[in-house]
Amino acid sequence: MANQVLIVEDEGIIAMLNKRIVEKMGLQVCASVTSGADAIKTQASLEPDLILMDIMLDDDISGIEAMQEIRKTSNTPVIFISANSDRSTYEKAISISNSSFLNKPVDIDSLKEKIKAVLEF
Amino acid sequence: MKIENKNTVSEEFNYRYVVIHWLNITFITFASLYLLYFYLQKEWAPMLAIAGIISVFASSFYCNLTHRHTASKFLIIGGTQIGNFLFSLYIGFNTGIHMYNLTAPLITFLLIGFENKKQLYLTLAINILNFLLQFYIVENHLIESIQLPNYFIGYFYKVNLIGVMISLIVLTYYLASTNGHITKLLRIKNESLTHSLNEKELLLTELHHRVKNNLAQISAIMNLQLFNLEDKTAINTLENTLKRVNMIAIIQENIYQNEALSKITLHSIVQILKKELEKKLLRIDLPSIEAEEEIDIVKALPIALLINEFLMNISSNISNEVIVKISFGKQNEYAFVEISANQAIEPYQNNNITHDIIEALLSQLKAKIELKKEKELSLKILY
Repeated sequence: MANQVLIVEDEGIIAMLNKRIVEKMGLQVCASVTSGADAIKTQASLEPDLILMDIMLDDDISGIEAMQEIRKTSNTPVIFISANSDRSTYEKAISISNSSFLNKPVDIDSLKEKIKAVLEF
Repeated sequence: MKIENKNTVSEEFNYRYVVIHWLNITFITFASLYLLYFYLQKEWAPMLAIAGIISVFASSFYCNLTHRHTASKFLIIGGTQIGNFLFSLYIGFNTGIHMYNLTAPLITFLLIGFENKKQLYLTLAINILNFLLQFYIVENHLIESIQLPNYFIGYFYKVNLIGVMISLIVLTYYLASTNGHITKLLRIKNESLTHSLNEKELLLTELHHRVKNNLAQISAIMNLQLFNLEDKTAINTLENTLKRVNMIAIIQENIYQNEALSKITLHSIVQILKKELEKKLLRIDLPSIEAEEEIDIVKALPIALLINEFLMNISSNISNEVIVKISFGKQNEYAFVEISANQAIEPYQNNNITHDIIEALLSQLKAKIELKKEKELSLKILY
């Protein structure tokens, strides 16, 4: 069965692009959500193999806060993809275990490399 | 914020009016004791002089109550000076009246402050002249002082001492209140500035985030379009446009991460380009970061786009590995970026969009190009 990927992204076009990239790699998108609260719930119910996480989301819960909550119960690898790449945000993001960071606009080859490295295929 | 400032200014003035109020009451009270004494002694001339001074203080008191504060201020300063002079002449220095010479400059300073330096220096000069004149007249016995009994001299000395002490306490209270008020005002202003600065930083962060996010969306649209294209020319064109958009995003990122927002180094930008271009047979040789000066943000975008255009074009015209060196420096009045390669490659063609973009960017920068292309390529952008 193909690896399951959860996309957390509030910008529809970017979410669609991420979905296409993931699917082109032969992976399956189990869900695409736009808020931190939905990310926590969906991760708990679907238990994906990888999360592609934006930082600034639809609700008051940021991508980093959502991952901190998820980390209480799961060690699912996460790739943060954000336009918000100041030093403090970056350091907070990579301080979460099993995480990596990519800047928006994302370079497709870099994203593919990152996904391959995380899922080891 | 403006309303708050108005309130604090009016409060500061209120402290001053309170001081005038209590100084007038103190002076009228003490002068009345002298008035009583001279009346009992039937010394009519000094009694009339003191009555005149009391009326000056009473006028100051009235002006203060009726909000004619400038008049009130100068009446109390004038009354103090004249009173000091007349008392010293009539009853001599031995009653301690001269101690008011110490409080007079303080009263002057606290009532005028540094708001009007001309008034302050003039009043202080009058105060010094007044004291010197008193001293001269009394020391040379030019006017005979009233002969007071010894017990009255002691009594006057105590009264004057208490009067000076009360004046000093009132003035110290004013000074402490004003100082405390100013400290409080500075703290409030400091807090307000910090708050405003934090808000602006937050706004700036959000603004950068928005710009980058919008560029990310444009880039995503182009990438989605690329997924659906099959025509090689169309793919190539769209890929080049995508690179240009990504270049703008990289510069935006660098502006944001740079501490001084008005300056930027090209090194970090070219570093990112290097990674991209090395996939396409280009080996980029960059000088150490210390060798490059910061450039103005207005010039950073067109220069970075120019470098991007040349490198993109070079990379699309090679079939084997090429080493490209990028260096920065100064030549006469110009700063320059030099792109050199170990092969004589065409950096741009004359009839395509790259050429038009290069022309537009050079025109925007008021820059020129020095191109040498024999065995190797050397291209200098002088700006």
